[in-house]
Amino acid sequence: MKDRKFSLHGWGLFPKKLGIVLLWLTVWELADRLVHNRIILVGPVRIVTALVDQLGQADFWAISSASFLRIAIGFLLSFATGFLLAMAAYRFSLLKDLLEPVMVALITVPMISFIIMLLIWVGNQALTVYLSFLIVLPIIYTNTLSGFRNADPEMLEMAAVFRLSSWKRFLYIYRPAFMPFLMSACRVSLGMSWKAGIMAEVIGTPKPSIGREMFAAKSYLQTANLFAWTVIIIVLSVVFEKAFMLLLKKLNKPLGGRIGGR
Amino acid sequence: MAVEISGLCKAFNEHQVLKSLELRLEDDGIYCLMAPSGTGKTTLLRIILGLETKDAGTICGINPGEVSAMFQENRLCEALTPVENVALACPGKVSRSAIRRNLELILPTACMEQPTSELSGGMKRRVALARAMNYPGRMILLDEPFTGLDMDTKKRVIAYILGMRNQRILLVATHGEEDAAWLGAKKIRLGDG
Repeated sequence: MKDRKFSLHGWGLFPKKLGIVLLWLTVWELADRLVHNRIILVGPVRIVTALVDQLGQADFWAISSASFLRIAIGFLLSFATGFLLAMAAYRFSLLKDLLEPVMVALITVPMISFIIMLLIWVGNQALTVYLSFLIVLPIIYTNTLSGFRNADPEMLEMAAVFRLSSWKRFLYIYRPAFMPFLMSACRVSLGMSWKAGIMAEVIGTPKPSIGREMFAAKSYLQTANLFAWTVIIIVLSVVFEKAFMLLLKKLNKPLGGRIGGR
Repeated sequence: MAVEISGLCKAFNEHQVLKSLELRLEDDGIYCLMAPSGTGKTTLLRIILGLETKDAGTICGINPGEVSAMFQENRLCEALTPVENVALACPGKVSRSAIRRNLELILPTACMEQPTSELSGGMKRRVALARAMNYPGRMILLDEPFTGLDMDTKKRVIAYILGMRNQRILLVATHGEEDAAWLGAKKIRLGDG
């Protein structure tokens, strides 16, 4: 009964949300037609046309895949490094103290400073990977460390009394403690890695890349193309975020089936 | 080998909780630790378990790791089922079906596959008890194991404890005078000397 009520509520909301979106799209399209200047403003119809044009280009998939891979690699490297560093820092307080100023610096240094430094150090082709890595690292590290420190001390005492192995402690005591922190950190940093990554591509213009195409669209005042690439970025980032969060949700399951034999 | 506690002292700031405690727990012995709240029952159990440091004294004849415990709090993994909670604390690859049969002695069959978070307080207490009883130690410490249990369940739980004890030393901290009689335990009153 409860589920039915919830479901009816959900379906009741859907037409309302769809109506709001359609209303704003109509306002946007009308504004485009009133302004009638494709440099200043392009409406949804012209964006869709530009999008279809881009999809038909021979190098569309190469451009999109290259940007996707650069940002995904930067994020995944940062995720793995941030997690392992947090685990080590939880175990060794000296390491935590050593890393603290580094993480504070990574959080406070403006993104543009990183971009300029990285352009000098690693060049434009690797800039996106490094920038995604540096932007995401402190978020994953600080949240995971907070998660480890959030582990229930009473459960840790229980683990000590029953001599639970390190692996069991990790899976059944630490994992439930850090997973909510890690998931929330990933939700924030996935979006940030895409924003930072594309910004790095626009400035560094590596080849091939979405950022380079956006820079070209800006240079040649192709506003419709700029918006079309923005839509593509949104789609790619949402796909990556959903896939990664699905993986994390699977890792957040109780995993009780692994304990004991038949 | 008996467990010998000698000259055990513990204070928290100015408050002396245990003062030169002398205790001998014979092999195969059942003991009920009787004392009002705040007089050091749990502190004594925690020192035996190695979770608290002692200010002075010695404990001979047992090492941490040879002692299993049911804490005052349940300390269960709430997302795991009762069978998984018990199996988690058992060393090696234990048989889930054997643990399930064992748990059915004190828990309804229907709750075996439920996450522990969905069980009642009394059921959780029994899962914590089963975890302590199934751990292969030389000594079992139970800190107020009968809290939240009705009389019938309490009798069933006592029969379970006695059936599972297997000649190990059993030390139970409790307020109930009748618990000692039902367990056939020797009473130890903290502060009696």
